[in-house]
Amino acid sequence: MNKKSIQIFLGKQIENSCGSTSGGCNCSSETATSTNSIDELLKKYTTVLEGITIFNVYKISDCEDNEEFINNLNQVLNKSGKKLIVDNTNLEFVLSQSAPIIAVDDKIISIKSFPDEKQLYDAVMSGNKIPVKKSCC
Amino acid sequence: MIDHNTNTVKSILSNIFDSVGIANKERFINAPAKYHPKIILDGFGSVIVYAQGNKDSSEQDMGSFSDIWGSLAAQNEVVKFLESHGYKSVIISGTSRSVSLVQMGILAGIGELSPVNSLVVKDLGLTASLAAIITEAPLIPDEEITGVCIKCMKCMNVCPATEIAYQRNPEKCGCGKCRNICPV
Repeated sequence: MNKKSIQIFLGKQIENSCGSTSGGCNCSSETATSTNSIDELLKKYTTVLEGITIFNVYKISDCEDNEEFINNLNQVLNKSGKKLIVDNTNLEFVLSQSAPIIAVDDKIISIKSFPDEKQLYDAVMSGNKIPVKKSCC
Repeated sequence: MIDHNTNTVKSILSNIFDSVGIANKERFINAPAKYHPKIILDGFGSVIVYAQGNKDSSEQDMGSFSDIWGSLAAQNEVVKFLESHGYKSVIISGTSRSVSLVQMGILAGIGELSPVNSLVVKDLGLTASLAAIITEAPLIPDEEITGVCIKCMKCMNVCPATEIAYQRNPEKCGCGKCRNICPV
């Protein structure tokens, strides 16, 4: 059986410093998840979906070319039937409104918050989207 | 050219949003410096404000648009269009605290101030999610409107953060009770 590919596009990390992949937090509309928490969550995802999926985590950087990030995100948007095309000029705004974006085999299943590992497992197995969590205000 | 640009902008946004209005820079002469659009874009010529109602969904994410990708695509298309004509443009999302989307919405003619200090939009009541584009482009402004809010005060009576009309403690705001009770 072919393994499913899970792609996770992370928004801009606050306190993101060049050459470092740790520190800061990711404040999407509702959640403020520290990088350490994200790493822990990714470990849980990997554990619960071990043998079923391959994970690719994409992060944007102030210091490097984000071409690969943009190309992969545009492929996911296109395969998901979205009209939006991302480029360097709108990337930050798009991510501020939608990150983290999680896709399975190029189809978006979750935006704006991290699901728990059970939600992700269920979504991967069923192909259903994970509902967007409500904002606090 | 101003006609063409205005019509194009409105045509793109009207495909996604329920209400679209435009204010020109003259409308902001008396705007408080603290919330003035020039903070975002010094040479701004117009502010485009758009709203999407969520009357049918009490579960709607407050402050967000229901079709997030469609709304992002439409906003992006407008910015690309204006910038292709040489006008720098900036999208202001609903979570922005550096300008007042409510004040911009009033000046752009899409609604008026409610007793709980939020924007009442025609046919959408207090359920509207708002965003705006501040642009250097000169565009044709819409008329400001009045009479949308029927002053029934139901929003104020149900609001746990408001003791005096038009004054609100934003730190206590967020329950959404006013959205659900507004009869507009």
